[in-house]
Amino acid sequence: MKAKIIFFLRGILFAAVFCVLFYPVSRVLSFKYQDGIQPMQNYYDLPPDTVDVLLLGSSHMGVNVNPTQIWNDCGIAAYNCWGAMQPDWNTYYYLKECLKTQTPKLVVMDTFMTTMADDYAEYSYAVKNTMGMRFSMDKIEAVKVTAAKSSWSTLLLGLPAYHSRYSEISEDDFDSFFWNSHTEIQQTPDSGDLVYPTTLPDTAQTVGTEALTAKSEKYLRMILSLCGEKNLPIMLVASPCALSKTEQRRLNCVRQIAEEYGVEFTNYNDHYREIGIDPQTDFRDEGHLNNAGIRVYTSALEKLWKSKYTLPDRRKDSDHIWNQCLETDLKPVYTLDRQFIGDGKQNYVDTGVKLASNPLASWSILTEIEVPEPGDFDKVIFSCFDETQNNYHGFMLRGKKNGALSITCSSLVGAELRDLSGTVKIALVKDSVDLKIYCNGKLTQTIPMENIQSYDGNLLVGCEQQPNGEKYRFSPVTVHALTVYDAAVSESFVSAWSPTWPALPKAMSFVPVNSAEKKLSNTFTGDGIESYVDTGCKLFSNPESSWTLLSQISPTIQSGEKVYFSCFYEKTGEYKGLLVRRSDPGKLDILYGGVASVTVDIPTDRSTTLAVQKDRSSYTVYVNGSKKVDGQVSECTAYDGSLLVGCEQDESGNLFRYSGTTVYNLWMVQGLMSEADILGWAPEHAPEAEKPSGVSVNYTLDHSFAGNGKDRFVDTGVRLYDTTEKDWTLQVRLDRDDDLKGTVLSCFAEDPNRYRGFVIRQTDSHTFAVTAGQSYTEITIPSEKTVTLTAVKSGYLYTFYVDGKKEASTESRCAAYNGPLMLGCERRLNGGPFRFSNVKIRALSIRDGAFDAAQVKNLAEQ
Amino acid sequence: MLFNSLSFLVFFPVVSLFYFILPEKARNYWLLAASYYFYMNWNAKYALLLFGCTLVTYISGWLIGVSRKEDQDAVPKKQRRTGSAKLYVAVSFLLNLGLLCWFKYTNFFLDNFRAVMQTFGVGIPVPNFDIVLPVGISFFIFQALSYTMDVYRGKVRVEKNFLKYALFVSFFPQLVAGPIERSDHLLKQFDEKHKLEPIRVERGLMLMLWGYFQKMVLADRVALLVNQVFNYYTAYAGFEIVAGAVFFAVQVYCDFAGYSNIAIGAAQVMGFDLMQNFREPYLARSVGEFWRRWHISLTLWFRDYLYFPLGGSRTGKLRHYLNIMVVFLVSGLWHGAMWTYVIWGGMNGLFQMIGSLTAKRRAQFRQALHIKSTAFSYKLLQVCATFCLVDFSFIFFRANSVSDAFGMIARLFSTFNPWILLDGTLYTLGLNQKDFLITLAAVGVLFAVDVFHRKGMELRSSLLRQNRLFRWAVCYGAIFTILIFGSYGPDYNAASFIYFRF
Repeated sequence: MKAKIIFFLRGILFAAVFCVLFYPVSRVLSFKYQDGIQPMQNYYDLPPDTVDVLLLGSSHMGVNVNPTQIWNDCGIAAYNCWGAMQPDWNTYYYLKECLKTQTPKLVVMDTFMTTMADDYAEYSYAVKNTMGMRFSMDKIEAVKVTAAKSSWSTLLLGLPAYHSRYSEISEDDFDSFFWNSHTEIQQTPDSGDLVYPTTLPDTAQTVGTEALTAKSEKYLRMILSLCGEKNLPIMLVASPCALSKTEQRRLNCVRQIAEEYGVEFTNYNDHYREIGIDPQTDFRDEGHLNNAGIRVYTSALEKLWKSKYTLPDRRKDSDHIWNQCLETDLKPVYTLDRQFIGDGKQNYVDTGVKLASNPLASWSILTEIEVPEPGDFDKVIFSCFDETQNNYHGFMLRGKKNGALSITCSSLVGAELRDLSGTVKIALVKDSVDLKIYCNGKLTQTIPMENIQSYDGNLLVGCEQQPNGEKYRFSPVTVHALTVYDAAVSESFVSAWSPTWPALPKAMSFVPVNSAEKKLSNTFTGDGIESYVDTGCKLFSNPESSWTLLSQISPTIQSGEKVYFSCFYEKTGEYKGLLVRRSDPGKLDILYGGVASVTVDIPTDRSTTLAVQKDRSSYTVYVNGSKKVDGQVSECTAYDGSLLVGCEQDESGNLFRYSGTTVYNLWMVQGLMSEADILGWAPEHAPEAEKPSGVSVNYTLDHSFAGNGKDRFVDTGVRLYDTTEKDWTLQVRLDRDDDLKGTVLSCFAEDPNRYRGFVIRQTDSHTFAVTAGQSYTEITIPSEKTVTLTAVKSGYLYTFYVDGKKEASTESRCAAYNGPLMLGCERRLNGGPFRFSNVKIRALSIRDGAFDAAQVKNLAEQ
Repeated sequence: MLFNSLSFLVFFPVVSLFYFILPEKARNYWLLAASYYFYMNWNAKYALLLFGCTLVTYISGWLIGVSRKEDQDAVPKKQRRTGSAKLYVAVSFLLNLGLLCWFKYTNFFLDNFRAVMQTFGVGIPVPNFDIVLPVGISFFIFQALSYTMDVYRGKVRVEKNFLKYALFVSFFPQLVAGPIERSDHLLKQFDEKHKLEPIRVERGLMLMLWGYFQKMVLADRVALLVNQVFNYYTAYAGFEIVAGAVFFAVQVYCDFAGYSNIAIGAAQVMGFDLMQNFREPYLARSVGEFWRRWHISLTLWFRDYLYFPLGGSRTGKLRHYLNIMVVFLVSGLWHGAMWTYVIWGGMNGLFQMIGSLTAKRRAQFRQALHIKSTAFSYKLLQVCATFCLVDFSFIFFRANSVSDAFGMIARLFSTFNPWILLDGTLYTLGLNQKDFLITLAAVGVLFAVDVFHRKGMELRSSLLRQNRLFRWAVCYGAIFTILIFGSYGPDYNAASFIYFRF
């Protein structure tokens, strides 16, 4: 008997463990339909009593009404608990389920599906409208009225329906466990640019009613009765769509039933013109509105609700889940991908963000800038500002002549921040009613946003825009980082914001001279690592085109491959385009058309002038005033790549053969130039691009540091590689530790395809391993108790001293890296520290400039 | 009620639980009621057929017993077979086989009769009957007839308890698709006292799990590919047909062996032993051996009740070969009322005849070339050759008609396209790449288990010797494999087990 009891208990334990294991498997495999299951499941995640307006119905509710807009516009907490093709009986059980955890102040139901003619929906819709519900008697009832008996077990158990999803599992499927809370505000599916011109029937022509199916009517009445019992206001609506006459007559019947219950029913098919819906532009398909239509329809509903019900503005309730979610789920709508350094002449960045198109919208801009020096004119840091005279409005941040920072909202409203210099963080946070201005994480001013107007222009960095769209007031300003969020972030978020600066801007550009000519703005000197210029000129997109390309090139090559410029399809057997490269010193290869070539001698002590003229399929090449190819025909098919300076592009579009070539001038002229003009072309060398000097690296560690191998490190903030041009000397004194294996210090991008920066590691008791870019050097550790290691970077040459004696040197080229120097750990590409070590650092000094041996010794003595 | 249905997953635990809870005396009644409920789930009216078959064979057995002059044990066997006993056997066989023929072969015979008449230009109106084949009729009739014959032969005593005998015929685990049990093996088990034995229950459940794996993960998944190739064979050729045929071999084995394992496992949970029905058939080294390993209960039935009465091998060579052919042709016809099954049976008989005829020559050949018949390579060759022959005959077994089967064979040899095995074509035959790879992995598991069993390793016993944690982990792994990769749910056409229709 005892054995039997133990066996029985084991059986129970086996079943219990099975249930525990079954849960994650089931959640991963389960359907994640956004149009039916997720809205119900996510509803359970909301804290009680956080929904004020409960939206119910089919896709006519789920797609056409946007809760995010409702929240942004008037702070009403609306939740769309919908399902694709949801019949009234499912709506009834959704309503029952919803009322278990929330006490909404208004229920709004779309009645399109009330007009459906069938008593059962398709199986897929039965799944979408029942499987999101938690197991309960209501769910059983819902399943029973939704599908035929043969499907009941499948709909209740779920697994028989979704177990075969194993072949389509993705990362998203691992986000549905009970510990993953989905409480974010809902957003309707984006229709992109979709416009489906349609025609809506004139509902006034359709009079009379047609009976609903008995089942639909029964459940509609049950919904209305349930709301009546709970004393819960309900509003019936029908969103605009192309209705058949039968559907219109059935909606008339819905109206009669609504009147019977004293419930308001608004059929927007009768009023779509009044609310501003244009069937030609506002639909994505016959039944659903596009983004433009959603905005209009949602606004109309907001107006209606506000006029009839008292609904709270939950944005003022900082405890409301959606105010909290705004911060945790925040994703930037725009981030500057390269630092902006304005030239004050022509460069700017168009972010594409329409900051002021909705005056009620909430947003945040967080930026880190260099405060412009006082000067003769105001300097625009960013603007989204309508410059229409006497009606100035929008938002703008400027450096004023007097050195203050000015935030302008309109001609009448603004603020100034004075006594600032150097690098500062500015944040503008607009909720729908206020604009908060933060400087270096601290709130400095709050400006009420009243009577503000909409402006449809984009947020621009480094310039302003005329009302006619022309850019002007290009300003020499520096913006290290800029991020825009489409929500108002909290003060703590602003104070914690610490951006990693993106890469510096590319110095080169191919600028238009006039409508027919383009030229390289500066002399290009490649680094053989990553620098190049994409001119954007697609020389061979039309094989019938004619053009003349004029260039001045240097015979010398610094490093890497030897490509001067290319617009070349690099596929074996299908070569075509134009490629100019050096073969041996003094030899220049020119490949053209598809693919003829010529190799010419060029002087090795001065620059060469090269002109290539394409007259449809014939090519003429001039080198230093001499015609080397005269109208040779070489036909090729179209190639869509653009003219690149300093590199090539492979057939997949990846860049390669970065070259250390120098191109003094490169002009592209549409059409044919006369031979006299070509031979007479001898411009001055274009100016050298101003090389970024980078920030100073001067730094002294003001305390000793001992790593613990777990989580201790020092972020010095020193950026050794924000530009590869600068020289520096780094000296570190550390305790000798035979057991140490790990990182001493690092300023290193752990990017396997493109290592950049510098890292010192101790690999064993007597070896330091230094990685600089792709090069690796080992340095022997002396036996003294403390060791002083000095690294001197001079251009691409690194020299290493141990206790003042030169031990090794190496050459390494690598691209820029913006991360800081870390002590006792390394830094992941995404910014987090890792590879902690137990290193004990007594002292660390870093100085600008490459020190010689004597200076290194002096530094050690200091 | 299918074994792989939700209702069986409720039915079986309830029946088992009450079986052990109820008092000893009530248990057989409970099982009988459960078995009839199980059968009536398909068609309640056909329970009468089951009852009729039970009644006829019970009465025939009783009459045979009555017709004996003296105490059975005291009289030599041959003397027990009186003329009247023979009559009762004949009546029992006639009635039961008559029923079987009516339900299973009426339309087959009429169709063929009509075709022959038309060939000779005779236009006789031949009716066609709308007959629904009662599920499992071939199985329970054969099982019941074995009782009549065994009583007649004196192998078993006459069973006087009708309810117990009715349970023998209708015992639900093996009612609709075997194994076709013998009265001397199963009947006496209903007199035994079955205790709840944890080890036995665990072993039974493990076997059921393995059966479900074979059926749901392998057979029903592979069916997608097989159906595609066999139903649309004109779109395929060469190795595509080979793939279809090979996977059908997997399907039919896993389908039937899966059912048998669930049946044996379910019976084992309740304390009953059913006979083994499959023993690694595809590792057989000759067609003869294959038949000793494939559907063993049916092979033995035909051996004992047809082959031996015909004289078996103790006759002249010609008669011996004729006996083999008769057995296999009848076996083919037992599987279904179609010429494809008859040809399939005939081919297997022919393979055995040729094997027997060439045995001497083959031995001489091996001797001349110094080929070691005990070497692994030779055995492997034999296994492969046997599989090829058996699988070739399976084309007839599965094809929708004789002309389809010949059409497939013609297309099989019409082209040589081995690259389709590697260029992704296999993923277009009804199973996508992921499903195909899962199938291959499952076939690998099946093959490994069969090889272990062939080597005499009993995996369930090995597993039961392991720590509980490991044992449970393996069980959970198996359950989740079935739940995730098994074929069931609304997307799955709830096809019953292949052998149900026999």
